[in-house]
Amino acid sequence: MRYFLRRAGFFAATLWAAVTLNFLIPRLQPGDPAEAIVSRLSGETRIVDPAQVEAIRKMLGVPGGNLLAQYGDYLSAVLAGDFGVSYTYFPYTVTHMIAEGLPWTVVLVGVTQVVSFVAGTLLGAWAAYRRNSRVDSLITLGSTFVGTLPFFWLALVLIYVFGFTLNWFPAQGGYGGGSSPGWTWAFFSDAVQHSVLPALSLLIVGPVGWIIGMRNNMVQTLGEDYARLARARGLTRRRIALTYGARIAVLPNVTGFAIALGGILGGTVLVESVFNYPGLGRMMLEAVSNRDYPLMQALFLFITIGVLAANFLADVLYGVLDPRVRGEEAA
Amino acid sequence: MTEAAQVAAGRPARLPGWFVILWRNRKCRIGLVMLLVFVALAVLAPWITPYGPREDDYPPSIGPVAEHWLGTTARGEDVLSQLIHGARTSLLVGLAAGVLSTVIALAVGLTAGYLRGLVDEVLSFFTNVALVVPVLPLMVTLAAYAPVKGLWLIIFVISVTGWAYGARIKRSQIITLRTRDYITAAKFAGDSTARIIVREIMPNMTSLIVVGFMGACLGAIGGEAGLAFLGLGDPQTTSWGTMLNQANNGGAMLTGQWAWLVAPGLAFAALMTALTLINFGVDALSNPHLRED
Amino acid sequence: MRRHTPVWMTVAVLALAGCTGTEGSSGTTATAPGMVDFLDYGDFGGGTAPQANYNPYLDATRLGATDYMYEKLMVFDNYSCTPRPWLATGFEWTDPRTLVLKLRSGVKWTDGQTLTAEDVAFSYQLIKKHEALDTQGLWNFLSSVEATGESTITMKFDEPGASVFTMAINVPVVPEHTWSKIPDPVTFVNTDKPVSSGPYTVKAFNPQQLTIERNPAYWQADKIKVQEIRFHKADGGGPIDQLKLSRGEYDHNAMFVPDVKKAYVDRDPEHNHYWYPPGGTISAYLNLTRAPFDDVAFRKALTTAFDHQEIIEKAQLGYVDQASQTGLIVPAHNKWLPAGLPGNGLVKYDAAATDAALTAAGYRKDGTGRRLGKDGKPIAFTFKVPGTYTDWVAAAEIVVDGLKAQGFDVAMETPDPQTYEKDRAIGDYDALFGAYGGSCNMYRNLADPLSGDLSAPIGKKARSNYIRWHDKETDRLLEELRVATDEATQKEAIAGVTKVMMEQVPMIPLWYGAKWYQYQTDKAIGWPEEKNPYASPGDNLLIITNLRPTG
Repeated sequence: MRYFLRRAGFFAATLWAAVTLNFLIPRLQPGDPAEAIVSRLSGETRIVDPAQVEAIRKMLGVPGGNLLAQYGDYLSAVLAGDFGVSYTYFPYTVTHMIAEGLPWTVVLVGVTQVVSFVAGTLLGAWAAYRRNSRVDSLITLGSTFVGTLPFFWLALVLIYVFGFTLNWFPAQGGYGGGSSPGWTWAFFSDAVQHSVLPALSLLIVGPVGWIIGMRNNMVQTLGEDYARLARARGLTRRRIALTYGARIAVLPNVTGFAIALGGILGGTVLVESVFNYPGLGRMMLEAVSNRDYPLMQALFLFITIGVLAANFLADVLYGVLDPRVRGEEAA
Repeated sequence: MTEAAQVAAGRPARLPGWFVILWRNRKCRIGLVMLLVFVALAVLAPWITPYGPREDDYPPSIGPVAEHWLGTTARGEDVLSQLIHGARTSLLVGLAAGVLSTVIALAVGLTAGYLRGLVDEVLSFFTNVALVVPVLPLMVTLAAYAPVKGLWLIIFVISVTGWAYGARIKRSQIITLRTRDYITAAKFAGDSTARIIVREIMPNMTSLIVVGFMGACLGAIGGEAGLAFLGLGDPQTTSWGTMLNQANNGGAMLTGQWAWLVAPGLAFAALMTALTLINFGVDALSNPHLRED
Repeated sequence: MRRHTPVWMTVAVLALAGCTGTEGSSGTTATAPGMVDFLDYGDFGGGTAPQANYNPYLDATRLGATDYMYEKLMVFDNYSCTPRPWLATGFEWTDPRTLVLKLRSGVKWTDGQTLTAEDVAFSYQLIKKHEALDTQGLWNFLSSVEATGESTITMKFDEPGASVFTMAINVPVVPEHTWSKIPDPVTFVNTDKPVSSGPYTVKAFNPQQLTIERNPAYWQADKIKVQEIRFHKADGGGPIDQLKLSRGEYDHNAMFVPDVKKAYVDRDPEHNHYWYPPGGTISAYLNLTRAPFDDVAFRKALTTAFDHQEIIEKAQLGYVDQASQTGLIVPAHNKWLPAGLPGNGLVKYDAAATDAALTAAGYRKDGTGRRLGKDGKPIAFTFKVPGTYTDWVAAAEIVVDGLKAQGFDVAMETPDPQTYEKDRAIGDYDALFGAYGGSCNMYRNLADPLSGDLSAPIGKKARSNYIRWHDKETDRLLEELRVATDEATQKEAIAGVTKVMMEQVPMIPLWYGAKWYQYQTDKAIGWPEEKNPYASPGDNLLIITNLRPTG
């Protein structure tokens, strides 16, 4: 119980620090949201009309008062779950906008992350198990090269080849202009088609980190004394690899994966931007460049909570997978 | 045996042991040679490029021709010259930011993981805060407020925002390691904490540290490219990221200038591959039983 | 290679399912004779994840459809700057402070009610009551707007109102009978059966596509020959939009396209066209509170220091024209130019002349070629440009090269746009780019950059006079222009300002920003073009009433 309280307190403190940083970061940035909006509207000539800036400032009601008062208002609003109105999408609320973007990111990034992790870890373990074999070379060398292609670049190439030249898949967006979002089969299949290219670019690059990490960890683990001892005791190579090697070696990967899962909410800014995918990552980039503080803060808060939850999960998983840690925590 | 390998084999006395081990690993050898090529290109860039990277006196948006092997940009700059100069930027960013963030990650991760207790709580607290701070806006903020703009700012930003993940991984690993018998033995023998960390634990983490460093390098090179691609880099620096950004915005796909778009991406991937291949040799250092012959 | 299987299987399955990447496949409607079924337009605003918003007063977040739903009293042809009768059939200044407009009769709202003078007065009162909706700041000049008869609207101004005419007629008119019931028009998104008067109504919307359809009861429905307009959201004029344009997915778009001739026109020279008329003026702003920029001889010498042709060709890809030192847009504003001005005020690039003029003004070069100030020290300064405005960065490089060639030690800085704008507004810079003008309001075009009232001390945000030009003569001329009611007086005042620009050089105009505009003629013709510039690219209502089917 004491352990649980301590962890909870720890997470609360981290959350508070993150929330406070979220409050401060936008306020340290130069520029006024109203000016940012007008200069975005001004188009190619980039002429900023001061009258329009003033009107928009009135419309947004950009917060005044001293920093401390603003901080108090912000904290109480956050506690009440009120994130305010988005500047970019006025008068729609931040909650409305996030609710709209969330499912797209969670599904696209979540599915590709899980698939990447599972595939990557299995392949990495296989490569380590069959170390120095042809399989090892194929997996490590092949995935190394493919995985190091910059994925926004990969995204551009995919768009050009499959989206325009071959015209197999839609090049951009989360769904087509003709369909109406809803729980219908037509919309679902439309959305799946639109997700193919973004998912592909994530899946080509995604597993590599896990492959290399898993392989290196497992190679290391299999070289440990206890693994050699086990071999001397006559355990089969396969049994050693599975019970000692893979299980221990997967630990850092699991921690990493839990953290990566937490990062889902932040989406993958680059992929969502290139494919113009309607998720949170693209929304965040837009919020940052538009000085859309309310939307930005709420998105950061979501990401923060996601990462904290993921860290908690990683701690738990670590305990399950490595009993030595559990024993120590209990003591 | 390649010529280079013969040289290595012929002069074993003058080469450090670790290098021989790395060199014997075939994948690592390929990686080292590739890296060497990149380093040579980067160092010799001003002498081997046909034109200055920012000279825009050539016909704009032309495909590969004899005078411009990879064509020219929309502004009439030579793509090949930019590509070679871009290697400088990437290597510099990778090395500098890689070292910087690895050092921070090591210091924080090792201390937290070994000492546990209050120190761990405090350091983990900072690590977690650093992990959850949204990196992108932090980068934008730092970039906007910096009095000096340019490459070193990008390096600083990437290091400061990129160490936490490594620190966490290293902490996790050391928590596992510190319960090992030989550590306990060292403790009973009265070794100091610092000595135990440096002598007993670090060598067992070499693989992880080097992998972490490589990861940081790769992350930094990728981070620079990503920032530059998003238009957040320094437009006066020639890097593969800014090249991709300009190719994308300058209509490389539209006008069918494949070389302009493809070359920086492939160069980037080749450098990343080289670094990863070297990584494969690194585990042989800490694990003699698994060296290739 | 097991891991590839699922991916490629998905690909194969979907490919077999016969999906294609083409968006917005149409549910074809039967073509009425003499009508265009539908046209595909580009972006419709509202950010990357647009939300339904048809409130015509919310400039920042409303969707493009509102331009076709709500109309104004007069519509400006922003190319020639001629007001065209619209909801009002005509106007008259009964005295310099009183504008009387005659309302068109027979205009119906989409719910069948008649558009009245009361609706007009209500709309003007609405933006008075809710300042956030008055995006032009019109009520700073207006004193009252009333319906003074069944079809008469009378506007009264605090001062002679000719200089704010463009703003006074530019307010969307909304129906009083529905809008008067809205508790807060500032947060109203007008999505539930909007009542409008314009040529189109919203047919369908999702964040990827906005479809509007012809309003059969429109008061000039006979001029609307396009049944449907489909606006498409992509990456806001980014590479994807460019590819879509180049392969003919848009009948009309307005975006930057690199090498538009090769990428667009050449793919179908018969149907693909572009026309890039000038918008505002981009000018080199020198901080007039700092030496040596406070010296008129110095500034005058610099007018010949910049290679306009290089900027136009390299940085602006040949799409723009050199700007006149008069501060006006030539040739569009030629009628305002004073007589006898050589070359319309277009200054030729001549580095040697700059060198001679600088030396004559007391700025010598030292033995190593460095240009010295009057204090004998080398002149060093910075030139700021937003790092993300790539075309401006390219232009800045040419400008900086021109300055370096004169022996100045110039460093280019590339802050982000927000920092840039802040530095410019508070006067924390040596030299940078500024953009101004381009509207049909000549007073605003000239007063924005030059009026002493719109400046502020260094450290405080200036409204629009970022160069800190304080000149009694300029302010007098601008005041004259502001209150002038006849064209002769306006001409005289404008000529006076151009003289100040030529002789005092408060800033150095370099090029005219282009308004992007691409169109296809395979389905519809009648688009404004260089030979027939009846409207500027943004004049949507003028354009849609001129389009007709091809053939």
